[in-house]
Amino acid sequence: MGYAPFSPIAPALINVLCVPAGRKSAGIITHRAPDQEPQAEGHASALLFHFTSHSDPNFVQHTKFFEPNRRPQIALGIIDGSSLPPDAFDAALEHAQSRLRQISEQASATDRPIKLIVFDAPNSLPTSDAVFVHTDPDKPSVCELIKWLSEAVALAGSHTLDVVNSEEAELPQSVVRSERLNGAEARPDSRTENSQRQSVIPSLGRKNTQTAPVPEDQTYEATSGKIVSAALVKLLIGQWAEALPQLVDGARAARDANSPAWHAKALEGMLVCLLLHAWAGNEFQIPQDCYPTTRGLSTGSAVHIIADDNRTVSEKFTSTNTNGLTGLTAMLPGLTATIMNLYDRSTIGFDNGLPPILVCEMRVRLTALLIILRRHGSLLSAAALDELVGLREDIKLAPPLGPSSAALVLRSSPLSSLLVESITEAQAQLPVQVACTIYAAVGQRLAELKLERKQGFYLKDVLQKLPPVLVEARKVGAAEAAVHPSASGMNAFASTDKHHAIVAQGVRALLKLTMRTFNIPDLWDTYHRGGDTDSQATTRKRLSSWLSVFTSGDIATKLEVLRLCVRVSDALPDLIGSTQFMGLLLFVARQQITVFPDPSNTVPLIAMEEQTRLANGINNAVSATQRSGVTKVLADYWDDFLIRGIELYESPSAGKLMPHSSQDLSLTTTSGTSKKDPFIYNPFSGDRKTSGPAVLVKDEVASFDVILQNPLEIDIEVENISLLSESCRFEAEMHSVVIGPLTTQGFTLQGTPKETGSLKIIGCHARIRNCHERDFTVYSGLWKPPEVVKRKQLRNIEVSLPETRTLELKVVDPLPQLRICSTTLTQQSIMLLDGEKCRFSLTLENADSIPADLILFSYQDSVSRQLQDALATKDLQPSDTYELQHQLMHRQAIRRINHTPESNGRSSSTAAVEASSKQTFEFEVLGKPGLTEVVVLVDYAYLAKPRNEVEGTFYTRQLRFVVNVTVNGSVDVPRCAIVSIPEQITSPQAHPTTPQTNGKAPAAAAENEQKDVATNQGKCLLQLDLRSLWQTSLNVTIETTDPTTTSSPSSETPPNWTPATTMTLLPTQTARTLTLFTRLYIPSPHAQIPTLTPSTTRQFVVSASKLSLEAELATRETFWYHDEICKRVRIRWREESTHQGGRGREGEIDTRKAIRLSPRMIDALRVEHLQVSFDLVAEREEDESKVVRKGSEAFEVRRNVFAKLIVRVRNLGREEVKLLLRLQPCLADQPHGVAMDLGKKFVWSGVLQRVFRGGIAADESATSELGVVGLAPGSYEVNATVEEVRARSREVEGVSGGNAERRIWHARRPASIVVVE
Amino acid sequence: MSYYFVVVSPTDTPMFEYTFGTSKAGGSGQAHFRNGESSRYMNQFIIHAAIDVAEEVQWLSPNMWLKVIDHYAPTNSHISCFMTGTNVRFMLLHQPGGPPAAAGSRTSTLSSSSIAQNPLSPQTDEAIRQFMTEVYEVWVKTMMNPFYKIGDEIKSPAFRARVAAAGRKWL
Repeated sequence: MGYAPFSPIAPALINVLCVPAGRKSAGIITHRAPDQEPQAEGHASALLFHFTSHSDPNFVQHTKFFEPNRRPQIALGIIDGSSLPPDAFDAALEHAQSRLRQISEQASATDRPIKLIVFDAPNSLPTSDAVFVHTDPDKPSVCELIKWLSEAVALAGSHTLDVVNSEEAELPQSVVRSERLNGAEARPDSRTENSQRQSVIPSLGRKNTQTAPVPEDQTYEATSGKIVSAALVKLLIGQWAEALPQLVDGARAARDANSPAWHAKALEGMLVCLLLHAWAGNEFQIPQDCYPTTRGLSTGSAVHIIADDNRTVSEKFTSTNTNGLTGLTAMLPGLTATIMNLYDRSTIGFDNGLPPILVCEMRVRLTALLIILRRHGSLLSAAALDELVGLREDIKLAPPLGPSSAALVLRSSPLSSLLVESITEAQAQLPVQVACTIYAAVGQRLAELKLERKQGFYLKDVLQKLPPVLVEARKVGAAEAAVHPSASGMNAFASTDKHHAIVAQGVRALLKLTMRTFNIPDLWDTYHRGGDTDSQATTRKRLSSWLSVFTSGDIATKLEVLRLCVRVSDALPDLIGSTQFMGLLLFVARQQITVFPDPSNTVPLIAMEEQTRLANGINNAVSATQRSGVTKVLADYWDDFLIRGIELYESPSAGKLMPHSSQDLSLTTTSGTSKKDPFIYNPFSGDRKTSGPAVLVKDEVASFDVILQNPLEIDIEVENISLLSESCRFEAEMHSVVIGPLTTQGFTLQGTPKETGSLKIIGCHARIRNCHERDFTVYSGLWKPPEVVKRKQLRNIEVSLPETRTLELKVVDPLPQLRICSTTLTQQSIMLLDGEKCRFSLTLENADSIPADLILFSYQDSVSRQLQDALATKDLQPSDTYELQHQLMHRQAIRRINHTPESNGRSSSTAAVEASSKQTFEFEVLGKPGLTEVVVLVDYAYLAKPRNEVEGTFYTRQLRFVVNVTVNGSVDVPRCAIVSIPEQITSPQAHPTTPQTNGKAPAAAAENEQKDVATNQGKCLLQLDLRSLWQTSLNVTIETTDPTTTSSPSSETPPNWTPATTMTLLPTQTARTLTLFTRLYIPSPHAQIPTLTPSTTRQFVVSASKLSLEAELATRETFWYHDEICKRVRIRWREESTHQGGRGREGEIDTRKAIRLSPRMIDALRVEHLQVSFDLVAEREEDESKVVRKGSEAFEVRRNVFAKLIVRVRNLGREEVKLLLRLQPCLADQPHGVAMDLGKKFVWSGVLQRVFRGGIAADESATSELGVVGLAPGSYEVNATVEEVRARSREVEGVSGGNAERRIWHARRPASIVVVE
Repeated sequence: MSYYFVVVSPTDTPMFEYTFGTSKAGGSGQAHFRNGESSRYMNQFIIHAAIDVAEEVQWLSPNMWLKVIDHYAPTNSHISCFMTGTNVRFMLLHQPGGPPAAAGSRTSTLSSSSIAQNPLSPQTDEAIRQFMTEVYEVWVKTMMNPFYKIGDEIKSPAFRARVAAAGRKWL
C-alpha cells in the first residue's frame, strides 16, 4: 500500500514513491527516506509529502478520483552515486532511469513525474536529468530537490485536474460501482495496465447500469463527485483556501444527489482542510455543513455513543464561537460520527456501495484522529496538531484531565469498540491478506489507547490467521519451484536468501511484540552466545521474568500465545524463531525452578507429549540447519539451575588426605620403640573431622559428585559437560549424561589439577543437545517464589537467587601413594586366647616415584574404644580409673614390634619407604576379652626435609589395615584368697639354729633377729582357683618375684621371676593352687591413688568421693596391696603341645583382673609399721641352759629360774614414734577371768606399763626388759601392746576430716613361756 | 446461553474458573459455546482482553457491579464484571445460545427478552447482578477461611458448589 491510509490527514498527503534504481540503494532507502516528511512552505499552505518505498496496486484504478493520492503521484529513483563506475557514469544513469520508468509503470504511475536522485555523486553533471544530493549537510542540493518537488506537484496537480475535468461523464459510475465489485471479489490484480483499465471500466459500468435503481441520481452524483475530487486535488497541491469552499459545494451537491460516499468524502476533506488550517495557524471559518445534523443518521450504536455524548457540548460551542480551535475541537466528535455514518450508509444502503476496505481505513483513520485528540487532553493544542500532521510521533500521553477542565471527554472504550468494529468488518468481508493490514493498524491504535490486552488479543487473532495463509503460500511457491512443499521452507532457509531472513526477522519481531502484550518477557537479550558465564544478574533477570509470567495474568493464555508463536514460526518457516519460542515455552511451562530431591515434584504445565513434541521440534530444526550446512541454529537452554551441587568425591582407595601442622610432628614420639602413651593426644590417630578446604593432589585425577536437575518430563541429553574452575590450572574431562525426567540426578565428573595452590570449582560448562554451549553456576539452595498478592507488588518484585555454591579446594604437591602389598595374615582375621600374643607383619609398597619419608603408625581397637568411653564418665572411683588407665597403657591390644636393628642401623622411627620399593613392619596383637577388631592406621607423607624443619601445614595420606580378632577364654581365676600361715608351720624351718646362736652371742642373735624381722617378714599363702576354658589341656605356671631380695632397687630391670607352682589343667578342669608368698610391707598404704593420665593430674584436687574416711582409707589400702601383689605374681599358661616341640599357644593371665583382695586377705598380707618381738634370757649365766627358745616367740624355762623378758619394738615407718609399752602376762589357753589369776604362779619385777624414753626413730628399734619367774609349772603368755604417747591427727592426702587418736599396735603373737620343773 | 465465570485476582491471575450453561427454559446446564473446541482458551483470551475495559470502567462508576462492559462480536460474547473492594474481578462471559447472528451486524435480536436469548435485556442484567452478589457473599466467606492464602487458587469444592447453585438459580 503505497499510501498512508491510516494517517488522519491521509487525503492531504502527496504520495511519493521512492524506489532504488541501482545497486546498493536499499540501504539508502532505509536510512534516508523517512516514512513521512511534511514540508511546510510558509504558513499559508503547505505541501505534505509521504515517502514510501513500495506501492500498493490494489484498488488503484478504481479510486483514481475518490482517492487521487492512492497511487504514487511522483516517483523518485534513488541511486548511490559512489557505487556507479565513474567512466560509464552517464550510461549507468541512463540504465537507472529506464529501470525507474519500468518500476513506475508497474506501480501504474506512468503519467506521473519521475526523477532520479543521485546521492554522493563523484562529480556533479549539470547536463544530466538527475538531481544530485550530498550526504553532508549541503543545503543547496536539498533545496534543489524541494524546488523540483514543488514544481512536480504543481505539474501533477494541474494534470490531474485536467483529467478530472475531461473524464467527468464517466467518473461517478466507474468509481462507485467497480469498487464494490472489486471488494466483493477481493482479487488483487497487480499487473493491470492503464489501457486495460480503460477497457474494463466501461464494461463494468454497463453491467451495473442495469441494476442501478435511480439513473437520474447518477448525474447529480457525478457532478458532486467531480466537484469533490477536484477539490481533493487542490487540497493535495496545497491550495487549501480554494479547496475548502469547493468541498462545501461538493458536500452540498452530494447530499442533494443522495450520494453518501461523496458526501462523506467531502466532509472528510473539509475536516482535513480545517485541521491543516489550524495547524498552519491560518484564520478559518468552520462551514455550517460540518455541524452534525440528525437528518439521515442511522442507528449505528458505536457512532451514537460519541455523538450522544458530545452533541450538547458541541452545540454550546457553536453558538458562542464558531471560529478557532475550540470550535473545531468541539465539533470533531460529531463530525467524525457523521462521516462514519455516511460511510456506513454508502456500504449498506445500495448495491453499489463503497468497498469495505475503504470504509475500514476511514474508520481507523477517524478513530486515530480522536485518539490523538484524547491523548492531548481533548484539546487541539499545537502539539496535538503537529502530531496529527505527523511531525511528532513521540508524544507521551498527557495526564488524564478531569471532566471539568476539558471541554470534551473521550472515553477509550467507545473508541476501542469503533476500532474493534472495523476489525469485525474486515474479518468478515476482506481477504486475510488485506485484513491483516487493518488488524495491524487497529493494534497500533489500541496500544495508543493503552488497551494493551485488547491489542494483544487482536495481534493474537492476526497470528492465528497467519499459519494457514503461510502454508498456502508455501505450497504455491513450492509448486512454482517444482519442489515438495515441506522442502520449500528448508530450501529457502538453506539458500542465502536474505529476503527470507528479513521477512523471518520481521515476523519474529511481530511475535515478540505479541508476547510482550501478554506480559511474556523477551528473554533473548539475556542469553550470551559463545559460552560466556551467564552472570547472576542475567540469571536473576530470567528468574524474575519467569516470576512475572507466573504471578500476573493467566498462564494458560500465555502458553497458548507461545504455542501460536511456535506455529507461526513453523509455518513460515523460521527455524531460529521456532527454536527460540519452543525453548521459551519449555522455560515458561515448568512450575518449579529448583527441583526437590523428593518425588513430590510438580509437573510442568504442559503435557508430557507436548514437551516431547517441542524437544523433537527443536531437534528437527537444528538438524535441518545442520543438513543445510550454511548456518547452525541452536536453542537456548531453558534451565539456569541445571547444576544443583558439586561435592568432592573421596574414593576410599586413594587414601584420604589429612592436613597437619608442623607441631603435629613434634607430638609424635621420636622413638618408635617405646610404648606410646595412649592419653597423649595423637594427631595421627582416628578419623578426625577436618575443617577448611578439601585437598587435591597435583597431577592426580580427582572425582566430583555433580547433582543435575531436570524440571521437565522428558529426558535431557547433556552432550558434554565438564567442570569449570578458577584460579588454578585444571584439566577437566568431558563427559556426557542423560538426565531422567523430573529428577535430580548425581553424576561423577573428573578432572586433574595441574598446579598447586587454591582451586575453585565454580560450576560446569555444558552443552545440552541442540542447545548453545554455556556455563552453569552451582545453585545448591532451594528456591521458592515470593508471594505477590497486590498489583503494586508486581512493579518491583525482589527476586533473590537460590544459594550458590563454589567448591574451594587446595591443590598440594604430589604425594607418594603407598599400598599394602602383602601381610603374613592369610585372612585379615586371627583367633587368640585371652592373654595370648600374636605377631603379624605388613609390607608396604611404594609404586610411585616419590619416596614416603614419613610413616607413622597409630592404632584403634574395639576394647580401647570401650575403655575410653568408660573413662569419659567422671563418676568412677579413683581405683577403677587407675585400673582402666592401666589397661589402656600397659596392655594395648596392638603395638608395633621394633625391628631388630638392621645392618644400616636405621631406627624404625625414621621408617620410610623409598620410591618403588617395599618395606615390612611387624605388629603384635594381644588377646583381650571383648576384642573384635584392631585397626592399623598408617599415615605417610613426603616431607623432603628433616622433621624439625617442616613449617606450616603438610598433608598425610592414610592407609587403613583392619584385622578382625576373635578372642577365646584361656584360664579363668574364679576364686582367690590369701591366708596367713600358722606359726607352727613356719617356725621350725625359719629358725633351725636359734638355740646355738642364742647361746653364743645374745647380741649377735638379737641382730640376727632384727634382720629376720626386716627382711623375712613372714610368709602367707596365695590360694588361686584356676579353671581352664580352652579345649586342650593347658600347662599353668605361677611365678613370683620378690623385689626386696634383688640387689638393685631400680624398677626398670625386669624382675627375677621364680616359678612357684606348675600344674596341668585339663579342659574345663578347676584346680586350686597354693603359693607361698612373702608378706608385704607397704610404707604408706593410705597414699592417694595416682592417675596415669597426665592431662588429669592436678595440683589441688577436691575429692568428689562420698566415702567416709574409713572407707576411703580401706579402699586405698586395698588398692596399694593389690597393686603390689600384682607386680609380684605372674600366671602364665601354655598349651601342652608347646612342650612337645609343637607351636602351641601360650599367654599370660592379667593378674590385675584375676586377683581381688578383701580386708581379711589384706590383714594376712600386711606387715605392720611396728614390729614387736620377744626374747627370754636367764638372769644369771649359770641358768642359761634353763631357758630354751622353742620358737620365734616361744620359750621354755625351769621353775624358779630368774629370767628376763626382752621386748623389742622396731619402727619400720618413716617417722619417729613415742611409745608406751603395755605388757599383759596371763595364763595361756584360759578364759579371761581365770587367765589373770597369776598369784603364786608367775611373778615379775617392775611395772607392766612403761615408756620408751626418747622415742624410736625411723628404722630404729628399742628394747624393754621385765624380770620374770615362773613359780609353778604351766603355760603362760605375755602379750605386748604399744601405744602412742600422744594422740595425733592423721594427715591423709586427699581426704578431709579424721579425728585425732592414738594408734595402737599389738604384737602379732604373744610371747609364750612354758614353765617346767 | 452458555456462561464462563472466572474470578480474576488483582494480578490478573485466574483464581477460579467455572463453565456452565443456562438451566432456565429447559436448558441442560451444559455450556455450548459456538466456537466449539477452541472456546476452551478463546474464552480466556476474551476475558483477558476485557480486563482492559474493566480497568477503565471501574473509575466511572461507584458501584461494584459494572454491568456488561465488553462485547466480542465474532462469537457474540458479552462480558459482565463485578469488582470487589480488593480489586478482585468476577468476570462472566455469556453467550446467547441461539443460532449465531450474522457476523458483523450490529443489530441485535430484540425478539426475545428471555435471559437465555437476550444478553442485553434488563432482565438478564438483573439476573447476572443477583448471581454476582450471591457469588460475592460466598467469596467473602471463602476469604475468611484461615486456611486460604490470599492470592491462591480457590480450590474449595464448597465454593464451586455454591457458585454452581447460584448459576442454576439465577442464570
